[in-house]
Amino acid sequence: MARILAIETSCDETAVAIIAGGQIILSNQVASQIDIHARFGGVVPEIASRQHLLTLNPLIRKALDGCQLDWPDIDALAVTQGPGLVGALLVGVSTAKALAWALHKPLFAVNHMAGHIYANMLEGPVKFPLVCLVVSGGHTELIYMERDMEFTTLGQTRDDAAGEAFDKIARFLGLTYPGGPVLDKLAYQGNPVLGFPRTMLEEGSLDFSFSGLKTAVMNYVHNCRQKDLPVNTADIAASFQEAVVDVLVKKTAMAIDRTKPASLLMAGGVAANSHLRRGMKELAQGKGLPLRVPPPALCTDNAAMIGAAAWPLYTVGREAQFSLNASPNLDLP
Amino acid sequence: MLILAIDTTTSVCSVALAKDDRLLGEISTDLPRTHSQRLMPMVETLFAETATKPEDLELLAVTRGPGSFTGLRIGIATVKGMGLALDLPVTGLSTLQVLAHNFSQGLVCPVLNARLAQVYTALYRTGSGPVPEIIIPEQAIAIDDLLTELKVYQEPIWFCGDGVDLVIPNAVRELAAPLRAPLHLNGPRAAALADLARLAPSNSADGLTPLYLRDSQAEIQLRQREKNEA
Ligand SMILES: [Zn+2]
Repeated sequence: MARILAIETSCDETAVAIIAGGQIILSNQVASQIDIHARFGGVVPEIASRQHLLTLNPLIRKALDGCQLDWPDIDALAVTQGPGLVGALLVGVSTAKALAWALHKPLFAVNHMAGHIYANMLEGPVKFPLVCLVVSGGHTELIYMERDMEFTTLGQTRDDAAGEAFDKIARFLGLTYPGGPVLDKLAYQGNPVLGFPRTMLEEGSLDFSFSGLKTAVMNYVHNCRQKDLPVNTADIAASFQEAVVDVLVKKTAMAIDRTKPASLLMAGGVAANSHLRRGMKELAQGKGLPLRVPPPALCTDNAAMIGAAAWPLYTVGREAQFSLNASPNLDLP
Repeated sequence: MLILAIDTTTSVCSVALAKDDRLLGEISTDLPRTHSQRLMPMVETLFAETATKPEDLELLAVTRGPGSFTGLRIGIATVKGMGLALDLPVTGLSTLQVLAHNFSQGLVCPVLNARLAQVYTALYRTGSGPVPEIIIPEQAIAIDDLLTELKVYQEPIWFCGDGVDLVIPNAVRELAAPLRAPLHLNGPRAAALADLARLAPSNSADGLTPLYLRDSQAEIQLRQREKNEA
């Protein structure tokens, strides 16, 4: 089975993986920069790029050594082309092109969002057509796939991504960075008693908007402080989270009714959120659909998913050229 | 020794292939459009024209900065990747020294536009040996401060690099004999890099580090904030 060495550097994780046959993870290395960016309260693009440059080579070596492989055992290379931070992407793209050139091996350029979706394929084949809810720090999208590598965007966020809303609210509440996982835990200590708005947009729209919810939370806290009322952050976390999950699940339900898929998928960093996982599980059961969600470690950014998404490109020989550039705003094909 | 030299630190994109003391080929452009799109196709052309294979290489050379942060990372990531794939040593040299090596006589002050009203610069004496000798080390500095440092030199000084237009108008007023580099000596050239790399110590690809000369804006601001709070 052909082995692909995949590189991912689109944001603040340097990642390298070796995947056999598009499905078997031989190595999955992730060097997180979270501690480095924590003092800035968010990812600093220039610092992320600098860190990728220092980390990537040793990480590639570690991935190869970890499964006792050397370059002759690698059949192809794959790299995230976009979307993401341009400077960060360029470190991965430049490295991958140099490797492919020096080793005379084919290179495949992968869309990061396709990667998130294909993290699901690492668990085994899925049934098409499918609907996938992609939720991360930069994305909130409902994707329909008729077949392999064919993506139709049914709906997307018009302002903040779900993960972005999580991070902003967490920062606003003074929780430690990164806020998403902390909010997730905190919500269990509170009750969803605060009626924050669920923005559904116009009739039938599958788009999302989380800025109204974000503002409502902030107004609520300001109000409490003005009136010297106690601010129960656990209740806020629970109520905010319930509002987000509600909207995500309802829109996904609408997408299912509209497209009649054979399976339901979830992908992206926010797919690791336990409340959302529970909500989607109930939805899938109600609709009688198989639900696939990657394990939490494959929901956040990693290179195994890039190797998985490179597989269909590899099987049809859709190689990248040496003029390949990073595409910070790359859309799904 | 077969050397591939790469420079992408400024708007110039330059690649050269040298065998010992002979330059086999060099391609240089100074055009918009990102180096990411240009660099590897240029390397491919150079290798095709010279009938060379990646496996023939014995040394990689790259300018490690100063320059555009993104630009220098493209060059460094590329040679790091090649070095990792081919198990080759890498020599990383200052863009400013490579610029100075365009000249063979006299004082040379390469200047690169560092924005924020500064230039990346250094001062070299050329002609005293096979490589430019450093007189003032690399720094990011305001143009007026640079000219103050250079005032003590009563001999001609060559200025080159993408910051010349920023420096020359004031230099003409302040210095004894400032000279502007002709176009063929004004940009970094991979051939000059290859020549210097023959004589410089090499490193492992993993050990190669960039020469930014400046922290990220976020770090500068954070330090400022912490200072104000203290
Ligand atoms: Zn992601």
